[in-house]
Amino acid sequence: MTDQRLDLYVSRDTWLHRLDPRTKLWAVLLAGAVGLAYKNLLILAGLLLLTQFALLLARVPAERLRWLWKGLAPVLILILILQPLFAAGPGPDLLRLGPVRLTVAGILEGVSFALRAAALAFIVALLLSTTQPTALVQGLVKLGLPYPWGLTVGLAMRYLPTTYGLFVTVREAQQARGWIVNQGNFVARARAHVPVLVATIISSLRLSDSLGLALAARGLGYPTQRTSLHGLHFGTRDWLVTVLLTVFFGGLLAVRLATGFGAAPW
Amino acid sequence: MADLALETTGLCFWYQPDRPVLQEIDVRVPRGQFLAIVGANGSGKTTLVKHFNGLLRPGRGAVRVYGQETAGRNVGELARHVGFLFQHPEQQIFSASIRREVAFAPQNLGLSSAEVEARVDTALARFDLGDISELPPAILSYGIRRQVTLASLAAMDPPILVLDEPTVGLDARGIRETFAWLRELHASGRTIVLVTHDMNLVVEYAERALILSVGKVLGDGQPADLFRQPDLLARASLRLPPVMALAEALRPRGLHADALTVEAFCQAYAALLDPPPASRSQRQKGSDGQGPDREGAITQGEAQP
Amino acid sequence: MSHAILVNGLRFAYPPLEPGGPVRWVIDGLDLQVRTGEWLAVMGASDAGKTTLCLLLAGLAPHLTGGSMEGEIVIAGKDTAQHPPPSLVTSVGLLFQEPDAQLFNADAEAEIAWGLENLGLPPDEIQTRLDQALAQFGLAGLRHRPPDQLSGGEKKRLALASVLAMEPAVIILDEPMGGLDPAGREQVLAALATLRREHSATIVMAETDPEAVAAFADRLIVLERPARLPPASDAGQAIALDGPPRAVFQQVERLAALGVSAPQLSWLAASLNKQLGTQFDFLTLDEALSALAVHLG
Repeated sequence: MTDQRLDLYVSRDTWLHRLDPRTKLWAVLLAGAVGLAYKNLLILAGLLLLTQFALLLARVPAERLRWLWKGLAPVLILILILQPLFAAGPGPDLLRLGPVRLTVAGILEGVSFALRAAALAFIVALLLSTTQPTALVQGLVKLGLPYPWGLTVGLAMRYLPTTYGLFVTVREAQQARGWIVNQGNFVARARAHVPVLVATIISSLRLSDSLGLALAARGLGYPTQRTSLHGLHFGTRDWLVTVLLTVFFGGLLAVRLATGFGAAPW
Repeated sequence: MADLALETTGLCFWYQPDRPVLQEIDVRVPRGQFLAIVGANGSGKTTLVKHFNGLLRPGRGAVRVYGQETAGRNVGELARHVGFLFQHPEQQIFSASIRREVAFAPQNLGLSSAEVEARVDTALARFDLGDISELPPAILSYGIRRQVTLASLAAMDPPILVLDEPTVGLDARGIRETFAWLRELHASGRTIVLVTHDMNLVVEYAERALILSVGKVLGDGQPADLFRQPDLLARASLRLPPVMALAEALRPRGLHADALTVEAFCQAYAALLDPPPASRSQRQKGSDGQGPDREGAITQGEAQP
Repeated sequence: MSHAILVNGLRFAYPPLEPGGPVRWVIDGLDLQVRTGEWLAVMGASDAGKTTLCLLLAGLAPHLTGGSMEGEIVIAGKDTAQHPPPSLVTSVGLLFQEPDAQLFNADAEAEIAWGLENLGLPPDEIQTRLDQALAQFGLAGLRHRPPDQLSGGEKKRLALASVLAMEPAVIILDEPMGGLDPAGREQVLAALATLRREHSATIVMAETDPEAVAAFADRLIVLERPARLPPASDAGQAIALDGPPRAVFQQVERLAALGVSAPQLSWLAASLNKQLGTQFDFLTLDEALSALAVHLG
């Protein structure tokens, strides 16, 4: 049994879950655009808070939220540290170590980037938590993605836990053969992972070979138009949400592009 | 107790606090014993044996290898003493040649290159892989890949071997060859722990069987004794192989089968037909291929106090 | 159609490891006729070519695997050489050995529906077949369970249900009992019993497990690796034994030489026959019990 947390979808029956996947995909696009366009700390923080609120509305368990934050934390910390050090902004130095300058502007940029990264990550997490992979693929295909591409997206999501499980199994097997990982510097450790990575890749390739045959054996490529068991229904609520979000986020984007507001963290 | 290869005292383990997987397991495995661990899926067999090489750490209690606790020792280090064969072992293959694959473990153990060479050559010869040792194992047939994993384990030459369901996916010949090798190892004094759901193998090869059920030890002793208790097996959700079940069913008719193999049954049945006078009935050799004949007494396993 | 499967002079080799390298025939001269509705079991050592034969009968080899094929295979009236895999889908279904490779949807419901969606069936037809399949194989409670959270037995049952929902005329099973713990085995044996009871398809089952073969097969053939055979062999080279399971399983020593496990009870019958001059041929526990009880008097 593999780690259940890698199943990104959380099965609940909230209005967010019941929205058409196309609505949610549009929402991701809009919110993501705002997240990329703005550097203003308040806007980005607001966006991030919005995602947290939405995840709670979607009845995603607190434990899952904590796990997501835990996963993001290293990346965020890295950004907070590196951004100010490597791209110091204008203004007086707070600290100086050789060529490295630390400024208030630089720190604010760092915070801005971190907030952006978190917001974007949680927007995607919100999408994947509330949308079943099958429905997501269906939505993409309805929006014009060719079915084989949609299938590939679905397969990638389905096999993520399997591949991870395989990685863990292989790692244990190599450890049992005397392979010790926590030695040496970063480069040495990366190279030491070759036995685990290569073995995982080989097994995954074998699996994907069989998978290709299995897909063909059950009719992929059958010369008929594909049908769907559950059609997608773009209902009143979907229209409402789409319009509201377009107005809200679209408005924000318009403000950003027209007035230049929000181009700086502060 | 330095002649204990493996020992657990009060071993408890859980993935989640309210669902224990192992509860107060006390096991003592003497050096050189061939121990089988059986039980239904979910009984904790794999979880238990993963403690023997440190892949899992006790939630409570202690695990000792040759008298020393596994706590604080990492898996790679314990691999010197405990060799482990996983289910689907072919998944571990990654090298560009069979030779390099088999050399992986001895190299990790820090042996000199001369020693590694020697071990690799011996292992390749033992499993008939010498001719193809330069070929990449990943593209070869399933049977050969399984042989490579056995050779890899052989090259480690560990004094204790743990095998988790080693016969899954093997054909009759593969099973025979694997167990011929295990017999050799056992004869040379190695300790072997076999996790399996094949009762025939247990009866054929193991000196002692441990029956696990829902994380507890339900039975511990000689396979022949344990498998004569149908209620015990039922509680552990284990099914008797056909010949044993037949022997049980005919017991009321006077059938006395001491051991539980085809040959033993035939002997006992023949005895039933012409009840002998005081003398013992003839010992008959069984048909080829069913398994090696039993020779000599089965050594006593350590009973649970 | 009296014969669901006709195989004539079949030879097959996978593409050589290096281009222009030596060609190794995995199947070397196979002739086979399977009657409609028959349940044929195929046994043999692990490299005897069972899986390859399954892929060939399903029309997946050589189209999708590459390799060279000689001879012909006609399955449910269609020549596999003339029909690419998608068009054979309603004629032949294949249950693969590895469940993870054929359970590629997010949950059980999606899995069973997927093949039917490919066929372009209307949603209510799909729903009907889906509900029936779930009920038949006891999977109703697992409808929304992701495949990773299923046990070995459940995975195999789901895979079988998905293949059967397509209602193919011929069903090929590649080691359905493989890699299962005792609980899983019970589940799959029950599923195979359901298959036998409720479906009239022709079935080819490649297996190493003698119990399943003894329980369900009408006929058993044992394949032999081509390299092992003496050069001057009769027609039907690749098939070493052919007959009803009861008869084939009695030849325990020949089977052992071919790398095939006979049922333990067949070994017992053979040993008793050798020792006592009897004529036992029991395969199941019940048969053995009655036979021995009668013999004991």
